[in-house]
Amino acid sequence: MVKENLKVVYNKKIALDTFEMKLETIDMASFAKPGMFINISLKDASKLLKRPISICQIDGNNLIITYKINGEGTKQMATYECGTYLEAIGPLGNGFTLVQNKKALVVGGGIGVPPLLELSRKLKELGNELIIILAFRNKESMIYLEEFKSLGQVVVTTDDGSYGFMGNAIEYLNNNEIKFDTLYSCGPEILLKKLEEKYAGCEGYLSYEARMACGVGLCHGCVKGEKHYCVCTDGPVFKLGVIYGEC
Amino acid sequence: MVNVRVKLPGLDLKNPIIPASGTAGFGEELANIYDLSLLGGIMIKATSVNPKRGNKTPRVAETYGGMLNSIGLENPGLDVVIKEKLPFLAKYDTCVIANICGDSIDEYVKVAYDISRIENVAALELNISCPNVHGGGIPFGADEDTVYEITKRVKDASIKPVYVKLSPNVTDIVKMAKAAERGGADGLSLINTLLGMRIDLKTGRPILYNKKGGFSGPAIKPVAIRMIYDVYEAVNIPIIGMGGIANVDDCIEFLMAGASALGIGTMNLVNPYICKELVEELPNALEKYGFKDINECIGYAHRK
Repeated sequence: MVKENLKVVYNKKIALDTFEMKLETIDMASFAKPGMFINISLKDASKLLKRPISICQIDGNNLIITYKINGEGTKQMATYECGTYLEAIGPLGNGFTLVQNKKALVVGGGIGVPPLLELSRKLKELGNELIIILAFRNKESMIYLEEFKSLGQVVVTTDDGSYGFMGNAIEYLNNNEIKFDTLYSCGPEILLKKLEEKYAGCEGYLSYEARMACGVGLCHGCVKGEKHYCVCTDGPVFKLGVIYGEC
Repeated sequence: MVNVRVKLPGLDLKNPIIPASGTAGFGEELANIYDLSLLGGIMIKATSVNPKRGNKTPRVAETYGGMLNSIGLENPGLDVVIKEKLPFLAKYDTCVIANICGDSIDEYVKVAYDISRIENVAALELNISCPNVHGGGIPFGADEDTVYEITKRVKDASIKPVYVKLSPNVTDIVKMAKAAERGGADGLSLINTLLGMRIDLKTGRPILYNKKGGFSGPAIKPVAIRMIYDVYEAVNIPIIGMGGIANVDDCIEFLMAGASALGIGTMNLVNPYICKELVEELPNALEKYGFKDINECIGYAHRK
């Protein structure tokens, strides 16, 4: 982990309420792995806590993050222009465990999709065959469809049926049996919980989200699971079964 | 060279900067970020006899210029703290201040007796904001007689100096400070968090699962400064000041108000490097305001 002032290279809208921000780092990007996150300060000092945002893409010494407007903080973030400097610490948390030469099922839900992009690239480089399910609320919220299509077989689901399969990722998986060796997922808690139940005993790595303060294990604000794991330092990626399973 | 060394009962601090209890765990996470030997001291997470799971989540929420927490004193319990956590800190040249909590006076006494006998514990900090289970759930720190009694009993049990951490959630903090002094406290630390609450506008429910939580961060600084100022006038024991310190100018302000050492809390959660940065910046800041020795700055506002 390092603390740096990151320079906004660009900050653009890519879907409904969804923005992509490219940040130039000094050394931070060189430590980044798929599934890790950064904790980023807002320019408004009254908003004290840094915002934890997952790394979507690692591009040389740049990091690309993708965020959805969900409150005052992210609303302000969407106004930051090219050349703005933002204090950040990172990369934080553990990344995804990467398998090789396997059949991987990648399931993303909503704003949980971005960290799966860098993951999928790395998985493909390691000789894995990818089946990718991307679940969105509607057509307007879809992100990175073309990028994922170049990496594997992609299925899109939308809650309102405006694109692809009508329903959510779990409904799709219940209707379509998919054989795989390893599961990867990031998305809403309910999606991850249902995946843990449906695929209990399988190899899988799931990235969880939590209301967080420090991001570095100091405050124990973001705990999850029976054993009160810190999502920030023990996660955000947990082995399937750790948070909602028996083991 | 500006002197930043300060001496308090049991605490010979190379500088006044101390991560406050609950924002530094047991030092393990901060030790990955900087050398803990840089610090004047470290206040470990509140320790109870038995492990505590803490409250359910959400247990943190942001507020204007601060935050709320209802972690609920989660800790691994006295045995694990003694066998695993304190030995880790023994590797560092810094004063360890053991924060202790409990649901009854007997529990405080038990923790104080055992933990004060650990060699690398320099002093105890008594967290009296916990609800008194036997006293109907009213915090120990909210009643003068209870503050006196708990301080006295813990002092009798401890072989190390005892600092009583005062709660600001009282009508008159000076009375509590005097009660702790009468009970034999070697020093005070103040302030703990203010009780606060936030409501989620979308659901109409409190954001914290526990509804209410401790309000901390830069927003509470003026309250802390006022209470330290008042308590300094009224007691003859040293004060470890805390409550919203966010930068080196805040450090000077707390010292001027009467603090002899400085607890850095919430800002560790915003910038985990902050204590190291403050240690580095403090000598120049003291010099900038005309002090050659930190001891000239302590209580300076009372001599003006």
